[in-house]
Amino acid sequence: MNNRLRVLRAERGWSQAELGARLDVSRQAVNAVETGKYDPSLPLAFKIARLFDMPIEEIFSDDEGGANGSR
Amino acid sequence: MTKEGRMDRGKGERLHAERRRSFWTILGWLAALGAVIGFASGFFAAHADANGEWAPAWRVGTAIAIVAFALLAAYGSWRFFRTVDELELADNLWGSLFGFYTYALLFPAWWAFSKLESVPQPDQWVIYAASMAVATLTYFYRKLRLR
Repeated sequence: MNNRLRVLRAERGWSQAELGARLDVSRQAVNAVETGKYDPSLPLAFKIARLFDMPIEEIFSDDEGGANGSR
Repeated sequence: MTKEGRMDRGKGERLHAERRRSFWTILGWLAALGAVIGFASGFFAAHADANGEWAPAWRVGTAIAIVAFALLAAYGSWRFFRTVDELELADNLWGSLFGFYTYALLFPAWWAFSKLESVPQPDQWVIYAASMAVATLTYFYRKLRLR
């Protein structure tokens, strides 16, 4: 799974801890998602999409999909 | 960065700090509980060894300590899992799964070999320790790999 989480976070000037607090997850969870080592649950993925006010598929994609991978 | 962004970051960092504080507080209480129970059980065991037998009062005290330990550990674990996020939960679940499989495979295999009289009877403490060790190693492997 690819995602643009690191880019979106950087655009807002948030730290991983800041994003984690907004999503109610740990900084380690944000880091694991950003580096592609952990795929978030569907509820967390929707939460991320809502936070960034974007469709979920613009943030996440499978390995062959369209989101600009951050790995 | 906007002024609002800076203010938001402060708020988020504060929430993050609260979450971490809650996490370590619960973990600290569980560790303290383990230390107290460990000391108490060692004390009771040493007392029993010294006197050669268990006085009724010591038996009752030990039984109360065991029940208190089980209840408080269960309550602490419940509080812990209400605090952690899905990644921590996943780490725990994978650790538990590997620990369970270790038990589920090790015991019957050992038992079957013992029936062939090629090994001694299964040792429950060895199996328990192996299951816990595998669960712990799996948990920390995921923690180190995913961070």
